[in-house]
Amino acid sequence: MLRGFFVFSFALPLFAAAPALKDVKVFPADVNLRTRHDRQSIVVQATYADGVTRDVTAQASYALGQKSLAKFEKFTLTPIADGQTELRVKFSGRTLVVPVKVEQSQVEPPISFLNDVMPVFTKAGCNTGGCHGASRGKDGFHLSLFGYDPDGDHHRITRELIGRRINLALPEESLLLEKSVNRVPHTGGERMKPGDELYRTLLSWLQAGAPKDPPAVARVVRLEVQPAQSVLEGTDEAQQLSARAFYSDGSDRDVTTLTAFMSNNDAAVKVTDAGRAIAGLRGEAFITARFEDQAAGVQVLSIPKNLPFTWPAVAETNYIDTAVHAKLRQLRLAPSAVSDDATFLRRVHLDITGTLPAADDVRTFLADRSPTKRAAVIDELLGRREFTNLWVMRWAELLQIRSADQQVQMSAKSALQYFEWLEERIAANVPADQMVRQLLTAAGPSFENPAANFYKVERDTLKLTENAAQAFMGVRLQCAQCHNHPFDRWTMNDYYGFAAFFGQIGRKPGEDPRETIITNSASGGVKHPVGGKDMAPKFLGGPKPEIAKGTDRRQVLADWLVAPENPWFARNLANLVWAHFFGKGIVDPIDDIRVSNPPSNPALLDALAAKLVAYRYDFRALIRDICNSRTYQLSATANATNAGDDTNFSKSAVRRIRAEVLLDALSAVTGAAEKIRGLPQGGRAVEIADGRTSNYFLTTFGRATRETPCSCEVRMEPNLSQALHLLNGDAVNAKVTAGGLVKKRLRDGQKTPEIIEELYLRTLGRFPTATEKEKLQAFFPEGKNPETALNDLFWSLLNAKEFVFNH
Amino acid sequence: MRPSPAFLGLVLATGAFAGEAVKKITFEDDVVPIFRDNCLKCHNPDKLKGDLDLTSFGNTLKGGGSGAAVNAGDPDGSQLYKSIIHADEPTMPPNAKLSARDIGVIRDWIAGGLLQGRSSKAIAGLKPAVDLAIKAGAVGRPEGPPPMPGPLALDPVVRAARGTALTAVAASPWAPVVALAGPRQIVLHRTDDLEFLGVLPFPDGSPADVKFSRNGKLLIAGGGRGGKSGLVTVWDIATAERVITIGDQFDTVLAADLSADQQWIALGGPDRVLKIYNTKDGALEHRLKKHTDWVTALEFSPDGKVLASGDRNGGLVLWDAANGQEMFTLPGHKGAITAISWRGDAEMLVSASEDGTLKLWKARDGSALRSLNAHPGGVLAARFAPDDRIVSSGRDHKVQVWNTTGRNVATAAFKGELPNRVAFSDDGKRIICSDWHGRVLVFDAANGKAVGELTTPPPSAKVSALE
Repeated sequence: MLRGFFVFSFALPLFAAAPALKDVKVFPADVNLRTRHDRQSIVVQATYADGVTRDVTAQASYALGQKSLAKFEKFTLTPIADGQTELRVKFSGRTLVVPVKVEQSQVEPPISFLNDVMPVFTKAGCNTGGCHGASRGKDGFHLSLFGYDPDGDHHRITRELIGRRINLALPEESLLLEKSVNRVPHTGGERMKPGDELYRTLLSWLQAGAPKDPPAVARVVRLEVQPAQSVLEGTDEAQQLSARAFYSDGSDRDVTTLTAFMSNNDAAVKVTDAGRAIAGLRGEAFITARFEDQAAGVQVLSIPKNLPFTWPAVAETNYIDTAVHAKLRQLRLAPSAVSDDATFLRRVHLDITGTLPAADDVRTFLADRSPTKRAAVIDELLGRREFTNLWVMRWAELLQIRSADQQVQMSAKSALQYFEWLEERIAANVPADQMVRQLLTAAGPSFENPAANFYKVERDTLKLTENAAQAFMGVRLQCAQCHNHPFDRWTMNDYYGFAAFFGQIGRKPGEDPRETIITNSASGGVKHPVGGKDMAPKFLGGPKPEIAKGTDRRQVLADWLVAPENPWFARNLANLVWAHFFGKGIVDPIDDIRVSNPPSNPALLDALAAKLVAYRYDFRALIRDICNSRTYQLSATANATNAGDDTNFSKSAVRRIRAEVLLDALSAVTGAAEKIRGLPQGGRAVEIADGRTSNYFLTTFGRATRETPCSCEVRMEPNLSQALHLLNGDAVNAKVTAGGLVKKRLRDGQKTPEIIEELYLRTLGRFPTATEKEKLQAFFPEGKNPETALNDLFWSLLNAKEFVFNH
Repeated sequence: MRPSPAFLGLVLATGAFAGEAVKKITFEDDVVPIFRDNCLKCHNPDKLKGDLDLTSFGNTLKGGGSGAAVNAGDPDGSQLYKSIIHADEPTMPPNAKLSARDIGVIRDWIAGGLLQGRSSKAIAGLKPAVDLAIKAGAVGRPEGPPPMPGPLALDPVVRAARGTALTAVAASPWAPVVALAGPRQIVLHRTDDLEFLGVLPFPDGSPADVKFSRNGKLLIAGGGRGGKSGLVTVWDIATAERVITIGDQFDTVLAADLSADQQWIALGGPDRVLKIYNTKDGALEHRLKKHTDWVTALEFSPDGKVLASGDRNGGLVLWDAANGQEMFTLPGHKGAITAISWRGDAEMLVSASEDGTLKLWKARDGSALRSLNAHPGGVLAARFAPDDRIVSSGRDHKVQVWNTTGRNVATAAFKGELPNRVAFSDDGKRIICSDWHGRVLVFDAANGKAVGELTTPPPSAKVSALE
């Protein structure tokens, strides 16, 4: 104890040079108090030079301009009289002025079911999936999950079982209230306390006669949660969050106490019901806030207190490094060192072309003294045919190119035509926006225009909608088909509004039964299942466009989707490309961006997307930037600070090589070609056109079946059957024998050390080390035919983790 | 200004806790209230979680699946005590902890040697005060003048600023009397001159189902507090005395009836169990676990031989009232059963459902006779007249009269909010209907015209007809 104390007291001065104050912000920046019971809490956040933030609400001093207009108490403003004034907030010598507007201060607002009562059920957890939000409800009482159906909830509470749930003569004896405070036994226990804000809201609504809202009631259009980012230094350091809802009538409201908060990483940062984020272990968390059908999120980082950290002077090749380093500095993580040439060469070959470097390529590259040799090899690889093959495969997964059980649905011929169409476009470097536009607006006979197969692969309008959102926007909409998305902003209205773009597709058979003619039927639509209303097309997260009758809705959708200002398209594509090179997306999984799963580095994703747009969707150019970045070229070896980091790209991720590439690599290094159905002898697995085609090896190593556009189709996790197949199956042993590489080299008169060297170069892309050479000597005694031992070495190398993984 | 609706009220002070300084801690006085509030929802004879039943002293001592629950004089060695102080798995109640006071009471009760009661008094007033059974042959219209209520309390128990939906409306089969049930009370009115007759207090909560006995002399009410307690009470309407209180449910009773011979009382509720009690000694004769959801409606046939019961899942079953044997299941409803009513000759019954239909069934073989799409959105109530007609109301905001051929013979000029309960007056000439706001409207059953409104309390004045 005593010893610790001294260490601490001596150590303290070393860190005591407190970083300078950089910025002070007040949330919200303006206050509007409207009607009598309105209020607005104030949060003040200070940012320091080292990136750390502090909640200084309690330390700041406050002065209200006209005290006759409003009251400021417990960091909360409440109205007194109409007028305008200001709140001056002072901290550490800086003053910020917050304009305060008070309106209708004498008006008693009517209680609203939608805006007052519904948030109670979400905040108190009544309508979660485990409780009354379950599809069949709980204990006989059902509420819509997270309140997607306010009208239905009003009906169930007031009219489903008349006389049971509410008692308007004696409101406090309503079962709704008695259960919620556990006055009568309630399986869900006590969700609120008599007299607290939630209880009082329900009670006032019952006292008012449990009214439904007039049709013109203002609706929430946006939820804002502040501060957008906090960096908390030290366990138990806290930051109060502020949630504010904006309504369709232009008003706003402090809804912090009515918002349900949730952290995606409780170990790093937990959040209280009141919206207080509290730091725990080192790490980062996203806090999702939910109010009515709106959701928003903020990022909170937790870093240890007094962590000695010096940012290393590392070079920045381009904007990618700038964005990655900015995040790493904030987290006090240092990036690993740059990888050696051999590792880089193997990695860049695998990533760009899906092939291993040839032995001579390795020798040449390692001998090259040019300082720009890495950039040169990147350019050279981007021009190879194998690069096209790899990305055709990736797109074929997104577009689910696969023949169906029923040939009329999707024949092998159609799948091949579709695949070839894709291959032509990627080989010709057709910009991705044009390609997607051609797919979305495809019309005509599918044999003549194979892009029309986009509408042949999936005929169900809703599934088509989901697939398009997932493949081109990285959004998983599926949940919103039946209820508001539990962890995102998407409502059923969003879902069916978006589906309406695909509601007027005509399909008729061509002459060949395997052919389908896609047309714009200019009629029909999509109905909302709650209420049965025909939905007008609405962009996801965007406005409702005016569409003249007869206009192809898909054209309107394509115009919006691939426009440079579209927030989804370029970001999704950039993220998809990034994930290919890092084994992890900036949003990860790549096709599941949502409020509760935001990008780990938004600045990086924004920069990549902006570049992609600037490059006119030429993703080769983006790949060139990525591969040239220092971040891509980092070593996989951790340093003292980044061992625990796997989300911020501070070191290279060790990734198992994906199924097709691994099989092709085995065939290539052994010289034993694989025969794959539908491909000529020697055809590579990455060139498989039809998703139905597979073999034992590919299935074991997790090849995508292309049954869905989901990124989860490609399974990358290693497992036991993979290891056993490599060790005992015919993949490795048979290929080593069938290829006869060792035999050929011996026949050509090569010496054992030369052959050993070549095997290392072919498989691992590097020379054997001195230790390896020395240890290997024992297996090659003088005078004995080395063939068996060399084949064993070959087998061992192919079973080495260093071979199976890209590192 | 419109007269204030029927169920208005001031809440009488709720019963205060019994006096302080109880020296002996006993099961009946001290432990039962704690168990009731916290444990009995699961540890009752129907749910029997962990094979443990804490509803009676005997079964509490018997223990559950893991042996004895309590050991006299040894709280720390009692599984029940260890569970409630969360010293051992399973911790109880599952999602909460009892208050320190309650834990103290249970500890003292165990330590004090598990006393049952201060005296040898019965567990609860379940036993009927009188033998109600009617000898064979005496069922039906009583001799003498129509059975009218005797002097009743005139002050409503509840008088509130706002009305609330009535939970039950029932008319006497032989006298111009209708009973209107709402929170804590049943109000009686005349159906001829609409005069207010008086109040039967129901301090046990809300009566969810009210019926007159077949001879019109008794009024039966099943109800209670949602999520907490339920029972059935029978009044002698001539004396306004409670002659029977039966049942000890852990949620309100939703449906109840007394057989025509007055030998049996049936009840059902959210626990899905249909129970038949003997009125002679209050014994539970049959516990019928057949319904897959809340039991929402039941009625004995007018001859008392058959019991029909329906549930929230659309299940409908006919039982032999005497031996509790299942006779027929009547399939077809796709939504909750909201009402069951027998025709006077016991040959036919009608069921109403949230699926929007009224279905007529032949009692003898359980066969379906007719299905009427009576009220799109859901039928909320249905009742046979003394003759062949049926009155029903539903979510289409209509109150209609049908004959058994399925023809709509009259439609009431109803303009209120959601008519949830209906009844015919004893002579079949009037319809009494309550709405969601708690208003009670009276219509002419022949032409559907409005006759008046029942309001409570107009101490002396009669309500003039609306016409």
